[in-house]
Amino acid sequence: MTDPADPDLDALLRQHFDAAIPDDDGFTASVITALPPRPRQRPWTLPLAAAVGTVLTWTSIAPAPLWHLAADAWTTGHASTPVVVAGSLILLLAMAACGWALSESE
Amino acid sequence: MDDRDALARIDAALIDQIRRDGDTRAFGTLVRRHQGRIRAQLRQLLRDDPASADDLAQETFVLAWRKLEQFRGEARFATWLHRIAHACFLQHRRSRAGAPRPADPDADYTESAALGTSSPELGLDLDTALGRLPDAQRTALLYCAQLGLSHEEAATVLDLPLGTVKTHVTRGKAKLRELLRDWGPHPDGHRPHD
Repeated sequence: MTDPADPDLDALLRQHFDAAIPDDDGFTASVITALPPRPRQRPWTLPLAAAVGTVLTWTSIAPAPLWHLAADAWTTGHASTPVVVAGSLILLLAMAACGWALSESE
Repeated sequence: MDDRDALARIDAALIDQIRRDGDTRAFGTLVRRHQGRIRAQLRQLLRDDPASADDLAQETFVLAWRKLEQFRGEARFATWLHRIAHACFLQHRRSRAGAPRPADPDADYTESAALGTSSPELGLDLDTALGRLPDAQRTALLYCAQLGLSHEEAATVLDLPLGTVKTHVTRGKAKLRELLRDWGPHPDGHRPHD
């Protein structure tokens, strides 16, 4: 970034740097030789794992009486303890899933 | 800026090709395009050790090859590479924390560095003057004045607040001007009082 207030000093610094840029002299070839095999990308792995995980989680927790009690209370409009507990669990799991998705996108 | 955009588009096309086909020839083209500036960056950072600088440059490109999926195109590819190179340099410096450093900054002078200016004498003086700057100021000048990164890009590479980078650049230039007072700075290399 050239400083408009000091073009001479900037030009001098850039000239000093540019002249120190080395020729390739086999550097690129040595890098290519040192490259490890690229990891194979499987773009379907993550969505598939998420879908399988969702199904497994649902089938394992669905028989628990908490969900039936919560569903009954919810449909009748009562904010009972099972509704609060089940709602909190769902919220917590959703937040954990969001956090995980965000960290994966980093 | 148009040139930069054109170069960035070429980089983006090469990166797409590498991601799609794992094409080492395309990566070789990328390395050839950027190796000079990355090696020069690391040689400036490791003023006393050009061989280690080239080793770190190789490590930088191997890391870029491994992590190419993480490059999202938010910054220029060159800036991303400079950031990886700087991280490699920091790791190298940490690993050599106990090793002795040259006591005299003048001893850092190398003939090749002096060739950068039209006058070898001025080159020597500029190199010596740069060697006398605090590390933070010299590094900020390297990225902003010598490599031509914007202050924002330099802040990203150095992982520093923008204001801190600007301060280092301003103070570094002021100190350089003071150190180079007897020489100009005049690009033709003649002292004003000659």
